[in-house]
Amino acid sequence: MAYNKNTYLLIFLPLAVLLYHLTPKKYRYLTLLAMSSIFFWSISGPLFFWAVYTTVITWAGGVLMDGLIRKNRLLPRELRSKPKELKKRLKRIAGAAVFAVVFALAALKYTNFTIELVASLIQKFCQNVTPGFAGMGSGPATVPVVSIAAPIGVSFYTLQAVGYLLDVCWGRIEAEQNPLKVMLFMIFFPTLMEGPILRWEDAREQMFAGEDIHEVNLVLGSFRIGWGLFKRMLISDRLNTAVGILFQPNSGFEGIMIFMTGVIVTVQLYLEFSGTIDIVLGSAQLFGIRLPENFRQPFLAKSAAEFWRRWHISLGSWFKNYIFYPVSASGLMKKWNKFGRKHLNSYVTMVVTSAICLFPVWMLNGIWHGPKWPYILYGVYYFLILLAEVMMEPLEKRLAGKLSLAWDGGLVTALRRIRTILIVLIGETLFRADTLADFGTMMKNLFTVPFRKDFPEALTRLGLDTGDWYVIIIGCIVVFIVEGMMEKEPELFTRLPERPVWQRWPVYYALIFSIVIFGAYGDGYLPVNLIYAGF
Amino acid sequence: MPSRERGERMKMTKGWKMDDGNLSVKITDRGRQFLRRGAFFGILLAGLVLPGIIMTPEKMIKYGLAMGRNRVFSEIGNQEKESIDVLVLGDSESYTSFSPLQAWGVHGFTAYNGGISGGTILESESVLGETLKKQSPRLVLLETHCLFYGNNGKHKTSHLTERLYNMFPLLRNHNGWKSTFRRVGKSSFKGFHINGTVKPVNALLLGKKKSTKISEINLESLQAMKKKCEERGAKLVLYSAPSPKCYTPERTGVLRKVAETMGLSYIDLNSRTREMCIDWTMDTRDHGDHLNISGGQKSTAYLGDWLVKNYDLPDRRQSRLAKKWNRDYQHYVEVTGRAMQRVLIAKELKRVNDFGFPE
Repeated sequence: MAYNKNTYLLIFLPLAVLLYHLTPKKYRYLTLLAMSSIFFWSISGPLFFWAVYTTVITWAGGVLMDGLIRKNRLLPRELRSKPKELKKRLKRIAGAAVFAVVFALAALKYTNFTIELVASLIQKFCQNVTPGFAGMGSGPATVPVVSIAAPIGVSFYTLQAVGYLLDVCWGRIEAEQNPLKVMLFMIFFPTLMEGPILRWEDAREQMFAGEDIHEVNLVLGSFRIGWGLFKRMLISDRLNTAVGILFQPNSGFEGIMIFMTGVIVTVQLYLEFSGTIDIVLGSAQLFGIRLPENFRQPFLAKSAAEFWRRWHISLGSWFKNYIFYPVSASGLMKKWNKFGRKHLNSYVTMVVTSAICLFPVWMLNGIWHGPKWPYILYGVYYFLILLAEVMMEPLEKRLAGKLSLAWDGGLVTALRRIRTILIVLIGETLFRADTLADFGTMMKNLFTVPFRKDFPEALTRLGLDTGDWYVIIIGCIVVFIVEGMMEKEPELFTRLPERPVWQRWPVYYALIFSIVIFGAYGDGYLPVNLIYAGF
Repeated sequence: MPSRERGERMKMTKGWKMDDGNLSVKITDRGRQFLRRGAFFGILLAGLVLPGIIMTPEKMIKYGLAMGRNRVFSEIGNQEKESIDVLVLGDSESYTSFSPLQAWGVHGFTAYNGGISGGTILESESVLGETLKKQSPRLVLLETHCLFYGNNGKHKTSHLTERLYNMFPLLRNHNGWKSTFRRVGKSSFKGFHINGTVKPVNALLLGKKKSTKISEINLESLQAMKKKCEERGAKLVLYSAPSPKCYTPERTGVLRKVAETMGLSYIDLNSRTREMCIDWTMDTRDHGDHLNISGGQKSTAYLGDWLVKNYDLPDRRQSRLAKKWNRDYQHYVEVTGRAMQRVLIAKELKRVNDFGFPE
């Protein structure tokens, strides 16, 4: 079952809404939990128990820390622990719990990668050893590579668990005493596969309130789901065949076709991910739960840093809250800043500070996406780009001033946007490449002379016909016009039911019938798997 | 708000309202809402259902609106009654390896290739069902690659999708708009696909290990197809098209066992490529996955001979069907000739590359 499948949209989701409606208000969160558990089990089977394991650790860790804080508060002032001592004890509990949940994630997702890495190092030094699958020795001596399956959404709910534990430890939130509520927070079915990564504050008020099913929520939720399907089925699913061909090893594409590969894969990835998030937000809205947005017109960003504040927002803000800020506020950084200001100039201090704070964020970001070298290099790539932006910005501002160009003016903004899009195109090509060697070959082939060799004949070899290209281009124009409108009016969709019938009905019908008629389904199309569900 | 007004308001929202005990009724807010919702879903339902009345298989093919895998259903449905001797089924391996019109030209029996791109065995079963409504083929040839497709719950989804398609034919035929962009004169050669591209076998692309597992559901479908054929007096024959990318000796070994267990005939063309004179540098269009026109002609010639030798197939070249089939055959020969030109050019280029220009 996946969010874009008939079984989810036509059977599971309506059934969940119906059962939720029939349950007494007080127990509605239990209905959501039961449906989320069924959803999880239908995809991952007994691996569901890994989610139970993480929930138990998270809940117990939270309750222990909360107990400690409450107990300390109840004691007479003279008997209370000193703040430093209390903090130390809280940190110890949070550290152990975070270690336990992160260890499970690492064991499930990175064991093979680590073994293969060690094996390849051993192989480099001892030529008779090769990595192979367990029980299938492929050489004279074999280092076993065990096939480990990971439960769905493990990377997402682990980050939620870590965030929850740290928030309790830092006194930002009170721990939840009911383990079933913590479980629902972890595996709420709309967010399970692709996020957004929730914080406890996002869920606490709405998820357990058991709000009634309202017509307005049904309309808004369904419309949002429809919009997500529009993005996926008209464009992203249609491009799937082309992306498969473009990324085949030895595909032989060169010059402008490599550039087109970057454009096509970026459009596909964005519309797949943001379309799925629309389905996720719409599904939650049916139950009256408004989840935080995960995208905000990323291609209007003027820098890579801004791009990451608009793309996969929940992941970016998780790293900001739980890695970047703690590193920036650490004692070591304070000491460095003090030293830098005293002995070096402020520019050097600022650049070094940025480098130290950004490095763990981007390394972890790359590793979080999965055990593959292109993902790790993807993290390194953005670390270097963001660092370069920090270093270049003062110089660029000075240059713009010398050329009498306003920093926020049209020309500079346009140039900055173009540069950001080029950075993103390279990043997404790297992200989608199977191996670093494939990415290297593509980058080499980009500069083949003549640049426009075989173009546009090569476009006809991508498994799409003229009609498909028309739908893709018109679909993209519609998406980007709507996104442009949403940049000015973020509540564009929410206000739709307030519009008169003659305005809103045509919009509803246009959305439904464009999916029905122009959607890439059935007839020889292969829908894209939920790409982020693999992370 | 005064209590009387509030009471009035509540009455208004409860549905239909009686005026001072009179029989006349006014539509209240709630009633209006109900009507509005009804109108919305009524229009939506009409938009989904009404096109289905027009979109019958006959009309779809008549006006050239049927596309892709739906086209197969429409075209088979529109073949003249009792005019097909051999029905070929499977995925793309089938419609690139057996040409019905070539078999007509050489042997005189009639065939139709109902292969579907990426078609599952469930889809082949559906095509067989559609064909048997109007035809009584003597032989049903199933290309075996589709047997190795994993099921992964696809059958369950397929059934749900199939039901939706039957309820709303617009969904099945939604790609009809694409016919606007279709090149005029593009014909279907009784289901065979003509392709003159030459892309030699690349050993690097063939290295992957292939699963030899045939799922229970696929075997059940095969059994169901066998039963359907037996009921209609047709023989089900399995064949594996030449494709180094799709087949390995392990796979054909498994297929031989399946055929033996089920009492079916099986011919593996991969083990006969030498007899067929298949040249893997010239006869494939995509590095050993599918045959191009040159390879397709060779495999059709071999398979046609084998069928005529082993089964009782009629020569209909003197029958009433001949006029129409001969006309299609002439067109097929013309188009094949053009596609073969491309293969010959590629052959010449390769020769020049290997040995240089002639002195």
